Formats: sequence, C-alpha cells, structure tokens
Amino acid sequence: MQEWIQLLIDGITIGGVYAVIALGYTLVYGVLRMINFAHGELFMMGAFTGYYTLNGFEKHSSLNDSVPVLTIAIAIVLGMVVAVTLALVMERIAYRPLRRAPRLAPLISAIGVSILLRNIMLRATNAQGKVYPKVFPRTAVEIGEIRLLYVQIFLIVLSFVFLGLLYLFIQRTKAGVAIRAVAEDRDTASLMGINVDRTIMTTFAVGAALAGAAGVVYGMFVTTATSGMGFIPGIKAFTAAVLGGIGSVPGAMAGGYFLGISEAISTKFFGAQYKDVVAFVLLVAVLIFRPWGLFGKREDKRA
Amino acid sequence: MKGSGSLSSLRAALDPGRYWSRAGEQLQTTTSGAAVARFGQYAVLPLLAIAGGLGPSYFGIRWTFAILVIVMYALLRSRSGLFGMVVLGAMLVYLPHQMDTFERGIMFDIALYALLGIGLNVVVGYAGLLDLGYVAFFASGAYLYALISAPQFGGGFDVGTSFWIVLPMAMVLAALVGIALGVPVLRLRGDYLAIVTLGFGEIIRIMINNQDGVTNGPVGVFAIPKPHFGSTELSGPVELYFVVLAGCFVAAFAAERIRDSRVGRAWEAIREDEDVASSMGVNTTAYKLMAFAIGAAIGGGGGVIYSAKQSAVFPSDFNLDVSINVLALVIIGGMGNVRGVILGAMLLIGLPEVLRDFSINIAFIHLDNLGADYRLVIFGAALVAVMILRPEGLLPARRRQAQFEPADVLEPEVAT
Amino acid sequence: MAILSVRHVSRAFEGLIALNDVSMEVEAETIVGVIGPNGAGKTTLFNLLTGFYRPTSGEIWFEGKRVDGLPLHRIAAAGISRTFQNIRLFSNMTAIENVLVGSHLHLSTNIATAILRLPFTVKQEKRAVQSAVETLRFVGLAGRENELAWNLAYGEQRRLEIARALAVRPRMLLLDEPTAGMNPGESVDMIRLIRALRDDLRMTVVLIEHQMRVVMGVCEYITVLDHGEKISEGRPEDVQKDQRVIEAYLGTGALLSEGAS
Repeated sequence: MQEWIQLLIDGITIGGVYAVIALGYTLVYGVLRMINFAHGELFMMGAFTGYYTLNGFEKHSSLNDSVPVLTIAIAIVLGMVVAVTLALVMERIAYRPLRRAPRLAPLISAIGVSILLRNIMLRATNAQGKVYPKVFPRTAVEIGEIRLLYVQIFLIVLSFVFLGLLYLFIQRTKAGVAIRAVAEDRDTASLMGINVDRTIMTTFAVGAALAGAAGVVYGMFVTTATSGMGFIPGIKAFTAAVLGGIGSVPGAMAGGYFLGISEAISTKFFGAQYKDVVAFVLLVAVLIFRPWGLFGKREDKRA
Repeated sequence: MKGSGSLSSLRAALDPGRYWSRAGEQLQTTTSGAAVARFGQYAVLPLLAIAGGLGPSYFGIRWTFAILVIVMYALLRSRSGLFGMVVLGAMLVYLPHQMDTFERGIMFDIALYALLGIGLNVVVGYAGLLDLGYVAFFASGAYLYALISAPQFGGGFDVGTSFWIVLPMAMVLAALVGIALGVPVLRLRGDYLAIVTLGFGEIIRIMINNQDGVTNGPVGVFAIPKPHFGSTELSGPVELYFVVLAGCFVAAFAAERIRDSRVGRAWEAIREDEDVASSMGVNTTAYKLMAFAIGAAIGGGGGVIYSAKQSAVFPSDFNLDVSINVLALVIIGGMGNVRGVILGAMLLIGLPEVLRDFSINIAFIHLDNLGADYRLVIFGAALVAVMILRPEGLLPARRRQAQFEPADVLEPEVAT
Repeated sequence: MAILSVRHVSRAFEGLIALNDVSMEVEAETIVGVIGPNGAGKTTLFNLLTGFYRPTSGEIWFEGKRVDGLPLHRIAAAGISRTFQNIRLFSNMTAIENVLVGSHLHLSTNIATAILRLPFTVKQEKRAVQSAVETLRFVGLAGRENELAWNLAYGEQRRLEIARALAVRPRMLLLDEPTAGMNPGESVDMIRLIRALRDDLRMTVVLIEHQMRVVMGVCEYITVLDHGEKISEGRPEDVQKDQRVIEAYLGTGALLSEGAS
C-alpha cells in the first residue's frame, strides 16, 4: 500500500510538470493548429535561466541561504521572462511568415528552432550539464516508508498553483476569452473584432511562461540543467496534451497527471528504463483508438 | 465546347516522349536555370580535369570539395542527361582514388547519407509523410547484419558471403518494420505522424539499449566482418564507398521511376489532398504504407552497409540526430527529387566534415571547430531559413512547392 | 430499376441533425437535381453518398450493393464519383495529371513494374494519357493539359474537376454546384456538358444547384431538401408548384429569380 502511495506521489510530481508544459502545446495548437515542436526547448531554457540565476546568487551573495524564497521567486520570474522572450521571437521569425504556408512548413520550421536552441545550449555549456546550487535541503519528509523531498512538495504545490492561475486566466480575463474565441473559430473571432495576431502572441507568451517556470522548478528537482533536457519532457507533455484531447485546457492538465501516474506505476512492472516507452505506447494507442483524447469529444469531419 | 483545342496542342499532348516520364516536366525551365545548365555543360570538363587529375593532394580537401560541389550543382541543375550522368559517375568513381583515408571516409559518409536521403525522400518528399524516426530502419538493418555476422554471437553463417544475403534480408525486414509501424499511425494527420514516428525512433533505440540478451546492450556489437565480393574482401572505405554508391544509383533509379508512374502520381495526390485522392480511387493507406516500406527498405540497406563499414555498432549510433541529419538534407537539398538529396548530402554531411576544424574569428565572435561543433546549430537555423525563404529547397523539384498539401485553413492576418 | 437507393438516411453532428430520415431513388441515366436553401443538407447528402461521412443511421445502396460505410476508394471503385463545391483539385499538379489520378483504378502499375518499366506498362500509360487528353477535350480543356491546376481560370477548374471525376469512369456522377460562380455564358456551356455526360457517356448525374435556370433546364427529376428533410420530389414543373417548396424558398427569392449565387 505504501509503495503504491509512493508511486502515486512520484506520478503526481512529474505529472504536474507534464501538465504545465502540456498547456503550452494545447494552447498553441488550439489557436494555430500547429505543434510547437520547440516548446520543450523553452522549458530547457527556463531550467538554464534558473541555474544561472541561482548560481549567481550562490556565488555573489548568501541570499540563497538567508531568503531562498526570494531567490527562487526571482529565478522563476526570470525563467518565465527568458522563455516568453524566446517564444515571441520564434513566433515572429519562424512561425508567423509561415501561417499561410502549407501545413508541413511551420512544423519543419519548429523542428529547426528546436534543433537550433538545443545545440546552441549544448555549445554554450560545452556539453556539460549545469548542477544547481543547493537551495532546497535534499532531505525528505518521511511518513512510514513514503519519502517526499521538500522540493517535490514545492513542485507539486506550484504546479497546482500554475494550473489554477492559467485556468482563471483563460476563463476570466479578456485575453483568455480572446484565446478561446480564436481557438474556436479564427475567422469569426477576427470578424468580432479580436486582434488575431496579438492573441496568437499572447498564447505563445502564456505557454512559454508556464514552460519557463516549469523548467526552473524541474531543474531544482532534478538538480541539473542539460541542453537535451527539454526533449523527452516535451514529447511527454505533447503526449499528455493528446491524451487530454489536444486543444483542451482541462484535458491537458488531466492528461499530464494521467501520464505521470501511469509512468510511475509502470516502473513497478517494467523497470525504470522502459518509462519512456510507456509514454509513447500510450500516445500511439490514444491516437489510434481515441484520437480526440481520453476526455475529449469525438468529431469526424473530412469534407 | 467540344473540340476547342487546336490540333497542334493535341499532337504535342499525345507525344509519348513528352509525356512518358512526367507530364509537363519540360515546361518549367527558368532562364537562370538554363544559364546555369549551359554554364554547367561548358565548365564541367576543365573543372573535372582539375579536380580529378590533380586531386586533393594538390588542392587540399577544402578546395577540392568546393570544386566538387560546384560541378555537382551545375550537373544537377543541368539537363545534360546521359552526358551529365556519365561525367558525374566518372568523377565519383575516380576521385576517391586521389584521396587519403580521412577524405575517403567523408566520401563514404556523403554517399551513405545520400542513400538514406533517397529513402527518406520517398516518404517525406513523394508521399508527404513527415517521418522523424527514420533512424529506426537504419538501426534495424545495421543490427540485423551485426547480430547475424559478428563472432561474439557465434552465428554459423559464412561471414564471407553473408553480406549479400543479409542485405536483401535487412531490406525486407526494415520494410516489414516500416509496415508494422505504419499500420497503426498512417491514419493520423501529418503533424501527429511526425511525433509518433519520432517516438518510434526513440523506442527502437531504447529497446536496443535495454535488450542486453539480444543486442549486447550499450556495450555494442564488435568485430562485424567485412563483406566479400567474389574473393576480394571489401575492407577499405573506398570499396565500401563503391558499394554505397552503387546502392545510391539503384535506389535513385528505382525511386525516380516509381515517382514517374501511377504510384508516384498517387503519392502526389495524397500529399495534395488525401481525402480527394481516396475518393478518386486511391487506396491511401496502402499507398502510404508502400512509401513507408520503400523508404524503410532503403534505410535498412544503408544500415547493413554502415554496420559493415564500422565493424562495430552501438545503440548510441542510432539516436535522433541521424533522423534529423537525413531529414535536414532532404528538406534543404530539395524535397521530392533525388538531385536535391544528393546536393543536400554533400552540403550537410560533407561540408561540416571538410570544415571540421575551421574557425571563425570576427570581432568578438570566436567559433572554433565550426564543422564539428556547430553543424547542428547551423542545420537548425538552415531548416528555418529554408522554410521561410525557399521552401522548395536548394534544388527544387521540377515544379514549385509540389511537396505540400495546401493549408486547409484560411487565415486572416489582422482583425477587421 | 433504380441505380441508387437511399433508405432512411440520417446524419447528426454533435447532436445537430444535418440530415433526417431522407430516402430517395435515382433511376439510371437520368439527371437528378438536389435543391434546397442553404444549410438544407445537400452537401451532407453528397458526403454520405461518397463516403466522406458515415450515416448515423440508414442505408445507401448503389447498383444492388450496399455502399454506406465503405472507405472512399471503394466507393469510387463501386462506380460513384464526384466534384466539390469548394473546388478541391490537386492544385500543384497539372491538368492532365489530375485526370490521370482519376484513372488510377484503371491502371495496374505497381512498384515492380514501375521500376522495370515493362513494355506493357509503357503502353498502358500511353493509353491513359491519350484518354486523359480526350477527357480534357470533352470538357473543353484541350490545350490546357500542362497547366498547373491552380493556374487555371475558375470555370476551367470546375471543368477539370469534372474531367478528373470522369476519369474514374463512374456510372453515377455527383456534381456539387457545377455552375457556382459562373457567368451566364459559362453556365450554358456547363448545361451542355452535363447533358453530354448523360447522352454521350450514358451516365447518371446527380447535381446540387442553386441557379434555378440550370436546375429547371437540365434536371429531369428533382429532390428538395429543407432543414435536413426531404420536403418534395418530382418533375421540375411539379416541384416548382409545390406549396412546401415555395414556402421553404419564401423570402430567398431564389425559386423565381436568377438564383442565390
């Protein structure tokens, strides 16, 4: 029983990360019908920003020890800023000119951006992973045999907070309504006076902010930032978005947790090395049998 | 309404020579294209003499390579047909004899990636299916040969001849893997397909890595024997380079002929509008699988040759970068045509090798080992640039932008 | 005997009923019109007949074979072909290539014969090209063979769609608003072409049309849809007098004047 609870907690931890990243995929897909292949790299850039910020504080001050809340908050905000800036630049340069282009063009462009960012960071870091300074004590709360790292608690809580904030943003704010309107029907939204261009940029920015923040927190959790770290979580998060029905915000959240928990449980049966395989198998299975997602509604339109 | 066409156009239309290969192919020569072609015809021989006769030992590899690229570009752009092919063939056969081992290695890599590119081009360029997991087929071919022939597994095969048996076996196996992967995913839309194939590529690598009992895991397979041709052992890079080169010619010939047939037309129609193609009677699933299988078979064949050349294979040889390299050379070279793939392979595989230790020092920019360390940075940027500036690639297929399905959503730029 | 029999077919989209319990029969070698105000379910009906949608309930029989639920290419093989309201040509292919795709089912080249380019294949391909040229001439596109589809004029694109559909060699051809966006002169040409399809090629033609002059001029039988239901059918002159039809069209003016488009 305790083992199961442990798996569940581990699943919720990583699932929260997937959910937060997945939102970026699902939002962008919603408005542009495009998979932003470079989204996982925004997450990676967030993690590096987190590292550089916290490492700077570590080297030049003692703030990491005295007020870790402040340095972490700054790291997260900077992570978001960097990711948002990058996202806006890539939208402007690599995606917007291709909005009317044939379908594969923006996808290939996005793959290019992803390769570019990953390899720039690979060179910038000389292919060495960057180890985070110890901001959180690497100790754990232990209840019976269940272990829960402090940073893990932080990550779980923060995921909930971000998901909640995003939900409010989408449901309550004008920008959120605009995003939903464009996602529903771009032509009509445009006719209703919604600035489609700006809405698309907002969407990218929001998704990037979430990915950047998730990168920082995830970096603290795994303690290392590497240039390749966005790739697998990126694909997993995409899987989560598909599981929840791509384009759907609550779906992406649920999909993230579902995937995280499935993965955690699968390690019990197949061992940790097949964790990634489980995600892909789930992705393929869902795409084949329920392409509209586990929670989504069916639609078939071809003509 | 009826009979409004003139007799001459009808006669032109009925001319089989004009139509056989590809209806309307000849109509699209631009003036600049023609100029380059003419230039190519005249420039080829002296350049060839310089490049081939004096060779790398005289010019150094970079200049030789530059000349090679220019000559190739001219030849590929031109319509010199048989003449061009003969010149090209002679050059590709002759040049490696003038090279040292390192340079021959580069020629081998270019040819191998050109072969893989020809295979992937069938999938991406002809049928319009974005496959990001092409390495899976390459890996299955490589491991099939490695496992059957390497002594550490004590397979009772006659290593001397097994290569020529394994080669077709591997192609069939890879084709089957391709179909097995294709059946579940080919009903998916283009961008989903990209992610799923990417996943498959990773799964194959993870499986090879983890199935220690079968594949020796991350330790790899060693002492893979070289193939024999008759009684000659094809041991050096030149000999195996010729094997790949022959493979390229066969694959290119086959691929272009298929493209110019009913099958190629069906692929093109699928790429343009899948549902309409289907309602015109094209069994789209079968045709997409066909493209997948052909591409996979070529990739598997490439894997066998790779395995034989390297003498050792490791799971880490078959990572995502391989798929990206091949995809990038197909797209940057020019989707949907073999000539673009060849140029792409030269530029994307050859150039970084030639510029391996090339340094840039301008003002505050210091980039060392440009070719070795920055190739993927440049590929990434190049993919974006090509999509925006020249989506048809450096050497476009004879008709512009034929490689894409039209976007199905009309998108207003600004709100009204 | 009816070549096409639609039996109690319904189709709903997320609860919205686009077509409700529609039945109709089409006699072989007739020209049948399907009319109705916008949103009446005409194109939905075509999409059901050609396999783009599956019916939610009901059956579709063609030449004694049940065809609903078959994949698109099998419906084409069964002998039904169509054009599209919003023209869907393979726009980066030439006119003749579009037609050649249509003749896909009547060629036999496979991978092996394509590589070997056997004399038999060469001959077959030549014949296909020849017949494609003839088909293009039949629809009035002689001389335009090598033009990319997207470079053709609007009216030419409509005719190319018909040529492509004809290359499938269907027994029944579905035309979705063949004269949409055409000027009166072009419409007259189109009417002549549609008659020729039936008279010369002995084809059954079902067409959706808004221009009443076209409908009344060319159709021998008319089915009227409104809000997803069949409200009337019969000969043009009878349908024109049907009170329910007049009511359905009331206010649109389409029935009496020149047409909605």
